[in-house]
Amino acid sequence: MAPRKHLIIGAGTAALAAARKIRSVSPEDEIKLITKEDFPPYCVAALPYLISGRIQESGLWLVENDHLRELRFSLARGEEVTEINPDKKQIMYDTGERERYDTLLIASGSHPVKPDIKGVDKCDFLPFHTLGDFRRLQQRLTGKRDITIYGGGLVAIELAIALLEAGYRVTLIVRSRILRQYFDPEASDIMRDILSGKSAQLYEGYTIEELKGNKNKVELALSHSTVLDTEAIVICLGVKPSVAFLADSGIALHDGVLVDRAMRTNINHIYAAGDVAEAPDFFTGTPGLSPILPSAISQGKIAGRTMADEEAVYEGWVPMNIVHFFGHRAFSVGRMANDDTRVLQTIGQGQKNFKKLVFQGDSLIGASFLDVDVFPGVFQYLIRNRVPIGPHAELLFEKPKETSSWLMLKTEKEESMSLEE
Amino acid sequence: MQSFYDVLQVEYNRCPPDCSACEAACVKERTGEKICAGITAIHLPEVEFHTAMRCNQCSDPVCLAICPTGAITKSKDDGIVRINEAMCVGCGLCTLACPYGGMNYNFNTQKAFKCDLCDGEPTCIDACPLGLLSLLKSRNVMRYMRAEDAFSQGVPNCLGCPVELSLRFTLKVLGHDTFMFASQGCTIFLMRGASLQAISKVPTTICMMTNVASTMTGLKRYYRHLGQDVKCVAFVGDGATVDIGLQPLSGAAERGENLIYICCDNEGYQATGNQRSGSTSFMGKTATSPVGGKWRGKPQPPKYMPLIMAAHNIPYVATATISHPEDYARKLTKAMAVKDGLSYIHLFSPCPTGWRARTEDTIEICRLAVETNYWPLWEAEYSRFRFTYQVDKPKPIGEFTKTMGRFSHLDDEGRGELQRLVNERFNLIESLIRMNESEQQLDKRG
Repeated sequence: MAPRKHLIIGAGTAALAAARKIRSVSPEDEIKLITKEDFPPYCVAALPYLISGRIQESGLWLVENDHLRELRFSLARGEEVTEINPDKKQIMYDTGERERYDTLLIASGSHPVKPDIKGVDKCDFLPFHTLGDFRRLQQRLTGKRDITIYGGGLVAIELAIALLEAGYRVTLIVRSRILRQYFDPEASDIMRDILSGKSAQLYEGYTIEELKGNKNKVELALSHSTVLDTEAIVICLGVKPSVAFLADSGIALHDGVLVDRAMRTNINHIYAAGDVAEAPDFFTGTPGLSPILPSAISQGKIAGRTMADEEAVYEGWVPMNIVHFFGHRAFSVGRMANDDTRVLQTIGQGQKNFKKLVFQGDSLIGASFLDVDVFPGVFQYLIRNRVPIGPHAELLFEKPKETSSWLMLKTEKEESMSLEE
Repeated sequence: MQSFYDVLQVEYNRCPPDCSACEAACVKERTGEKICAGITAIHLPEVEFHTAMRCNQCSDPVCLAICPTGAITKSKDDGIVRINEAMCVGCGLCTLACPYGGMNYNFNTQKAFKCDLCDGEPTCIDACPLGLLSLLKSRNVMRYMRAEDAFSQGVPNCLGCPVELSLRFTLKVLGHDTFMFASQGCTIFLMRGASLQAISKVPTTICMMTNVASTMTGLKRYYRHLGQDVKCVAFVGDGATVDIGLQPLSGAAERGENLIYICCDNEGYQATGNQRSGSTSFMGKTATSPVGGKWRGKPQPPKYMPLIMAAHNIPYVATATISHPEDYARKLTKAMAVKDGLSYIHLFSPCPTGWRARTEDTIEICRLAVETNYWPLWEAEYSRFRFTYQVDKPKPIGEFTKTMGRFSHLDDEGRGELQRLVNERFNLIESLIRMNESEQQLDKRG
């Protein structure tokens, strides 16, 4: 087949995973990544570590890695795609320039949700989602010690941890409780205690009703008639897919870009992956957003293979996350419960660690652990492969590391034996 | 083409209960901290499961893809997946992504930690008291597989015959600066150009079955006279080796001719219609040792030719089979290094047609021959014997015999007799090896 041209809108994790896959399948094809940020490709998950000082900005660039240089893709930095014309198989840039593609991947990612709070514009809305945001935050923090974060999701917690590590006084305002999406109240409580122990101020169950002041000094009017002063505020209330430029393209949108199990959109030769894509859920098969790194990689890989004309089927996304903080580790994979599930979990006050397993029928569908010695990825394996747990649910709960490893290795062994047959 | 690399292999669920010697050795060698190793002992007595878990060095590592700082790389040279510690921020995403328990986390340094095969010589291998860990050198085998083929395509051998694979592989290891010597039998087809298509790209001399070793001697000496040291290699069958050509071979060995003699043993005169040879197995059914009436296959046990050759006290003798290509390749390499005498390799090579076996089972039959101790893999350098592959729990001989029709007449008693002979032969080799070991220990003390 003649070499083809693959355009990828975005240069994040999904874009890079797709580019890698295309290159491994089709050595001769042209691959071009287009990013509106004027930086080489980097990973947003690394940004908090710039604050804690574990890496410098120079350590952020993924293309400096030899492995990526071998990909031979071209990178258009600081260029924005404003329109797609599927009939002509063209994209249009903000400069008016057009470019043809053979296949097009939309991996434009997401952008932070800007809350509808009175006064949010006056104090200069500052999210934490890009390297640009980091630089703005760094400027704003100059000469200050006291910072408030609004939000209790993963980004908010990672940012809080990094700021605490760097010696800032951190206040967290959380609408319900921290990491509610991933962890049970018991686990959230333990994590809150650990953060409080590092002198973070937590306001759980509070909302911000009004922001007064400017970007250097902010007065926060909270619910429950509480008022707080802070030197800077960062708002991390989640992300939305970046799909505005697709409005007139004819591409089917819901919250994000709707894709099938091969990451195809409704329009030929156009694909989507990562935060922007609305792909099937692993458990139900219904489309949904999964703006996490592992999903970006697996979706990017599937998209890359489809674009390079390989058969590939996306099994669906599984929610998962992991947080390391002050020598503690919390992670969660899968679903945390619904009606027809069986749950094993640690209960009771004063626990130092937490474990929870959720079963549906014979399969594990969810696991979350805090400060338990296990291999997190192995639980992902058990869930993703729908490994029959049989009568071993209690054993898996009592000895999670050994039992999960046994079930995983046994499954692998049986699989390789059936392949031999 | 995907590259192939070395893998640290752990035998599944065979560790002694409560043993964590591999983990301890890794800790001692690498991190010095109890909390983190590149290999993890897993003990679950409730289901009698005891094994060790380590990184697979995946070809498309998900840990590498997920690492937000690009700290994880896979080397193109050795295939090892490594973490650049300076770049690791300790986010732990790799531990969440890796489904195989290959990624550890060091809570002291707050960085991920994984097996890097100790850059090619894993400490844990020697630490295992049962020798359950090994470094599979598939990379070397694949390197040979990719080498240029010494033969063109088109072979008139029977379907499922391993001779073609064995011979092509042999030449890939030996290299094309080889003089081949062939003789009547199944091994000749590829070398003499039995059809217009099959052509050997290396110089090949067709000998009589009676004079392979003598012809080799003559050619070797002729070239030495011209000032050239040529690599003379015979690849001939068991008939030409253990029966018809035994005397010239024994003579060449005794005279110390510098030749490589490979006997490709299919246990009979298979090319001429499956007659018995001196190498045919005890109770093996052939056209001239049938089953029926007073016959129960061949009444005599086979000559054990490799041991006869070892008794010549020559520089190198080995047994091999193509199901263990890395073992065979290592032996060919050793044979090539010999400059002061004859090297002899006896290659076990099933004949699906004569043995009445399924054509797709050939390699499996080779493997079963090793795993039942029917064909133990060993080598001897000047009568210093050594196992090159050891089977911990040998399978009963019935596992081997049931794969082929030539043993279909065996009842329990017959299998028992064959098992006894297999055990005796194995015990003989083992005793020679033990004798060498105790001699060596005495030498050390002396």
